[in-house]
Amino acid sequence: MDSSGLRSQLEKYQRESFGWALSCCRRDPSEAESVLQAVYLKVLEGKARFDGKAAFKTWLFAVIRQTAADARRRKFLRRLKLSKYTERAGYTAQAESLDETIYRSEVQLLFRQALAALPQRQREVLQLVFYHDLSLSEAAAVMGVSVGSARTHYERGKKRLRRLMTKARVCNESESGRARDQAAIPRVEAGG
Amino acid sequence: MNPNREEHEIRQLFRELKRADEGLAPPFMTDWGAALAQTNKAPRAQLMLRLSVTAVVALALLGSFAFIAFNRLLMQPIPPTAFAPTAIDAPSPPPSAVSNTASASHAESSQARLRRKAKLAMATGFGNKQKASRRRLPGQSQPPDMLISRWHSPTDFLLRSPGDRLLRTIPRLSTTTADIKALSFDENE
Repeated sequence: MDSSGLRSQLEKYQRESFGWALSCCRRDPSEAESVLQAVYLKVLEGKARFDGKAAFKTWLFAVIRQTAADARRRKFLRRLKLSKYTERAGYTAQAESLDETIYRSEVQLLFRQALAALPQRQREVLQLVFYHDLSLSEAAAVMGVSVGSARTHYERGKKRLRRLMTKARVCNESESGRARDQAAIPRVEAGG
Repeated sequence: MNPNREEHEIRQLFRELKRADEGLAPPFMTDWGAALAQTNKAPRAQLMLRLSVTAVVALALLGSFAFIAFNRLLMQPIPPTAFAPTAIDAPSPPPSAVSNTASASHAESSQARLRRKAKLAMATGFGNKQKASRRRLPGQSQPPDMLISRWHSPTDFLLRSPGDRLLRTIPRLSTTTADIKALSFDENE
């Protein structure tokens, strides 16, 4: 594929690539963007070459996954050097601001939390199948595992996601109910 | 729960997530431009890295060559006159001769210089005798310790007794007392 064709393909999949990078970077938009830039750099330098063995989307997603894994490893090493307290505080603050600004709906928030609680492989296969509309074999190619393994992760992921969502809903409802009761008690006392 | 309904619900949730993410996605040109800028920077950085590595290697090579050359210079063979026993054994000229002849004083000063050189070489280059002997070629000068073993005291003759030769030789049956006496007198002369 020539450079102009490659560029147009990359442009076509920009949003999807960003979504996948976001998933690989634990929903951190700035990190996802830097990963995407690193991927483009790899393509430009010829370190990542599309040989046409798989679909372009599958190849691109595999490159993104690999680059994100490298970035994660580097971040981990950097974090080892820095103070744990500072890093953790910064991360939490960022996650909270993301929650507030992007995921306003309560169900979406629960869903996001449940998704984050899933093991990496299960989260990846669900994201590839439901978010990016890939088949199980394509998802397996992106993840670098066999189709059977991908299917197992897919089934287990679905079950676990449902369990986590149900648990979160129940907790949420009981918490809101308790809050309602607590709010009602002073009113009764005041009335009595 | 019905599996199809469950899948449909999950798909729906993922779709909403996708919609939210699409709002966050940066424009393609931003990321592409940043990657292009880094590509332009990369060769310069690589060039600088290569240059610095080459400079370090060149300096290391130069340093090692200088070290080897210095060592060789120190280990150069010293002329045999530096260790010649004549320098020590030679009878000292009478004081009048020394004071009168300029050439004699010049020779003495050169001998002293050579002795100093020899001492310096022993202190630096010839510290390790084994190494020195391994490096020595057959035609080269001998080390000073062997020459010292050959050294004789200038007053050695005083230790010799008059009948020394007689005692060191085996007497023959045919010789007479007169011959022996003559021999001893010859020696005394």
